[in-house]
Amino acid sequence: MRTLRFRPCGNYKIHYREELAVFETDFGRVWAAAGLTALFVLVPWLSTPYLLYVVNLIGISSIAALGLNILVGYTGLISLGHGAFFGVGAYAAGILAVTYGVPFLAVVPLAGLVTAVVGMVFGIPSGRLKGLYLTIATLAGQFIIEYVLVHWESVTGGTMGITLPAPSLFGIPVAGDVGFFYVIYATAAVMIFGAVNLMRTRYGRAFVAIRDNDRAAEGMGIPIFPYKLLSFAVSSFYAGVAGALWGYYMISITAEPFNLGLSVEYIAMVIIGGLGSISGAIFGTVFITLLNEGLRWVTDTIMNMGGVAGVELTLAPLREFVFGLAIVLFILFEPRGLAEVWRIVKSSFRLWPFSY
Amino acid sequence: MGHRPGAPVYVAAVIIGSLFLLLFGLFFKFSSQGIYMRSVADNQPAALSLGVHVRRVFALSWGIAAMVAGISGIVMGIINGINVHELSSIGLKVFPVVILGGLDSIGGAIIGGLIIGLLETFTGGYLSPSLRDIVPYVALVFILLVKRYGLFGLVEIERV
Repeated sequence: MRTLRFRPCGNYKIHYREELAVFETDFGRVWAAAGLTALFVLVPWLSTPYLLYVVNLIGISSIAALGLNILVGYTGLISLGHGAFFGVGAYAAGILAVTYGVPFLAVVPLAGLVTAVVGMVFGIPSGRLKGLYLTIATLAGQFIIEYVLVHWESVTGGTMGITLPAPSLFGIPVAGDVGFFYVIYATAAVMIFGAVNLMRTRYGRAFVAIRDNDRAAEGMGIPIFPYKLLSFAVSSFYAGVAGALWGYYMISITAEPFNLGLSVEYIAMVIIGGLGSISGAIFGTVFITLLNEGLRWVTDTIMNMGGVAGVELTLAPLREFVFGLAIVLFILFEPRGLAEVWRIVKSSFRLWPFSY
Repeated sequence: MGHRPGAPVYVAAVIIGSLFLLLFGLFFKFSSQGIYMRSVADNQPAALSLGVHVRRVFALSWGIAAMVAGISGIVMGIINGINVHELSSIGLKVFPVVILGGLDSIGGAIIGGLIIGLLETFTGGYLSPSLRDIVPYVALVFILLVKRYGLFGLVEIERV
C-alpha cells in the first residue's frame, strides 16, 4: 500500500487527471469509507423511530435535490417543476407496481426513466428560452403535471391516489424504517457516485460550459439544445428515483404533496446548500429538512403549552416565515451556500495557524 | 361576485386601471426616473457608469411595484372580497400575463391580461371549470415557443 498522502500547501498539480481526482488525498478516501460505515452500521441502531424517519426523508430528498443541482447549479437552467417531477416518479412507481406488477428492483429505475422522458418534454422550452421566461415555462410544467395527476383518474386514481404494495428485494421484504433506511441510502450512495462521476465526463464539462456561457459553448462545438435536454433528463431521473422511493416509503400517494411549495423547497435546498456542488445539495437537504422538522416541533410545543384560542392561526405562518427568512439570509451572507461554509471551515483548520 | 354588470365598482376599476396605465406609460417615456429605470433594466453596469443611482432605482421600483399591487388589491377586494388562501394563486397568475405580453412592455401587459383573462373565463365556462387554472400556462408555453420574448417583449440580440 502506498503511504498516505497529505494535502500539499499549494497547487502542485501537473496532470489534468489530478485535477479530476475525486479524493485529493488518501485521507479523504479513508474518511469517506469510515463515514459510510458509520452511516450504515451505527445510524439505524442508534436512532429512535422518529429520528430514523427524518433521516430517511433526508436521504430521499437529497437524491432529488442532487438532480436539481445538476440542472440549476451545473447547467445553469432553472426548473420550478421539480416537485411535480418528484410526483411523476412516485406515480410512475405506483402505476408500474400496482397495474403491471413490476418488482421493486425494476420499478425504481423504470420510474426514473419515465420521469426523465416527462422532464425532457417539459425541458423543450429551454432550447429557446432563458432566464425569467424559462422559469415561467417550467412553472407551467408544474401546474400541468399537477392537473394531470389529479384529473387523469383512470390511471392515477384521481384524488383517491394509489396504494403501493410492500416492496421486497431478492425475496426479502423491505419493511419498517430500518429496512427502508438501507434501501434509501444504498440508492442515494449509487446516485451520488453517479453524479460525482458524471461531472468528470465530457457531459459534465459540457453542462458547466453551457452554464458559464451557452453561446460560447455552442461556438466551441457543444450542441447546446441536446445537452440542455440531457440535463433535464438526468435531473428528472434523479427526481423520479427519489419519488419512487418516497412512494414506497409513504405507502399511499396522492397528488397533494407535489405542489409548487415542494418545488420551491427543492430550489431552497439547492441554493442554501450551494449551487454547483454535489455536497452542497446534501448539506442543503439536511438543513431544510431539519429546519422543517425543528419548526414543526417548536410550533407544536408552543401550541400545546398555551391554551390560548386561535394560537394555531398565528403560528401556522411562522414556519413559512422562518423558512423564507433562512433563504434570504443565506443569499445575503453566503451566496455560495453551506458547501462554501464547509470549505472555509476545512481550509481554516488546514491552514491554522499560518493562514496566508 | 355580487355585483350586476355595469355596476359602479366595475366602472371605477376600469377607470383606475386605465389611469394607472396612462400614468406609467408617461412615466417611463418622459420622466427622468422612468428613463433611469429603463436604463438600469437594459444594462446595469452601463447605467451605473453614466451616473444613474442604481440602488435608488431599485428601491423606487420595488416601492412603485408594491404600491400598484396594493391598489389593484384594493380594487379587487372591493369587487370580489378577499380570502387569504386565494391571494397566493392570484400572485402566481400575474406571471403568465406579464411573460405573455413581454417583460418590458406596458401594452403587452394589457394585451396579455386580456388574453389570459378571456381564455380563463371561456375555458371555465365552455370546457370545464378545473381546466381554467392551467389553460393560461399551456397557451403561454406554446406562445413562448414561437415568440421567445413574449408578444411585445424587446428582442435581445446576444453576442459572445
